[in-house]
Amino acid sequence: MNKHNKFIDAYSNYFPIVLSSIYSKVGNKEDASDIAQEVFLRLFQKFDNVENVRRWLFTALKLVIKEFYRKKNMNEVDIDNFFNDISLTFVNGFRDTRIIISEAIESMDHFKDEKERILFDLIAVNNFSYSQAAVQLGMTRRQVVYKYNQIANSIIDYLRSRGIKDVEDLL
Amino acid sequence: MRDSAALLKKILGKYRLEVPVPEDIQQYAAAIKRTVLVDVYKSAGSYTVIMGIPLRIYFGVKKIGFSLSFVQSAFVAAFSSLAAVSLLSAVMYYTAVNIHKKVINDKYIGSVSEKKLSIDNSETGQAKIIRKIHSLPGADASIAQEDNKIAGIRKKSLSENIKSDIPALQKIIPINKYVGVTDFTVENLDRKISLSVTKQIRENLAAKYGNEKIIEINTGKMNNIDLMIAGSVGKLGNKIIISVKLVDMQTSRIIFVNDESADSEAELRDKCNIISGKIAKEIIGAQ
Repeated sequence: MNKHNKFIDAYSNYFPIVLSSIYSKVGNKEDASDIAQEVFLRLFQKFDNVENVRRWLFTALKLVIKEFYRKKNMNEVDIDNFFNDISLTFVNGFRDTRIIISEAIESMDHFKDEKERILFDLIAVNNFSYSQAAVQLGMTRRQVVYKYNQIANSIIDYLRSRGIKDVEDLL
Repeated sequence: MRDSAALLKKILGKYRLEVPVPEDIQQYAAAIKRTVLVDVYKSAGSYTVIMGIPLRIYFGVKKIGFSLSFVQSAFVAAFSSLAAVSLLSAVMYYTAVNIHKKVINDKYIGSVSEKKLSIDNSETGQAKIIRKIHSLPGADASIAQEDNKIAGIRKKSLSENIKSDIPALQKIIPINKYVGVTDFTVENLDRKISLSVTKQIRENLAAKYGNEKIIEINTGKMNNIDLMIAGSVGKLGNKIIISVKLVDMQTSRIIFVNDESADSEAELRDKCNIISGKIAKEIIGAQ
């Protein structure tokens, strides 16, 4: 029962961001849900041995997406193009700034727990509305707004501490 | 006050750190969340029927802004199921009891096809009168039990059933008819009360109808009785219920039924006067 308890909690928290990541790659919601189901099925089968659920999920989803498209007889090069790092399109100082911002939003210092990190990913990265994020995470909209603002303030302060005195200049 | 959230959003957008998901996909994710989990469990061969309700509770609670663990959801499901079963059992029990009471009532109040009376001075004999008046095939129920049932359904089924049997409900009996009065039976009360009620009604009628026409049945004088007055006095809750029937002995039909309730023994005299007046009207027309 304990395994079910932990797995269902993990599934509930990570499902929206996993589905969003898959959808951003495949562009079809039915395919995305099928792939997400396969990813979480494999997580369930290996759950006892998984230490970092987040890292495991994002590694697994890449593998499952590749398998999915191999079955569709897609060219290996084309599949790999799905996962090309967009940062390559940035050059020089812009790339450096982007790296700093990426480090800022990936640092766990801004988040009390994994749930807050997921909340940030849903709203900041995946553009979920506050209401939809609240439904996914079992929180009220007011709680989501409050927590997200706390996180945003923390990240902005972090950027300033990294030498970006006027954050608005980044725009 | 700076709007850090809006500023951060612009920064992430500019540096292509956003991976926006359309709103319909956000709603789709919420809609299929539980279904995909069920499919995962089924694919893993770990899904059981008893997981269904806890999972619905688990995801349902999240949608309204609260959070329960799966184990807590299972407890809620178990207690809810137990409460539902208890409620259903209680409803079925009370329904069965009420149906049983209605069946008993219908059995005792039913047809009125009595053709022959035999009288004796015993209590059993009086019970037979009442029973035969109601054309009962069986004879186990006591008069008191019978009258309580009558009191219970008097408002609708009794009066309607009786009225439907009688072509002219308000028929006036010629004054030359002889009226028998049996001692009223009693339930949950002192027998003196029922004897007192019987006596008062008889005396009231005798005052209006003449002594020679009102005959006490337990005295044994049963010859040439044209009408029969029978009744019961019982306690129902805090009230004392007097039920009276007037029977045409020629046709064996109940031609008049009346119930009166009194809040106390002190009110019984008034109620007896009311009943007597109504019966008298039935017998001799308006006074």
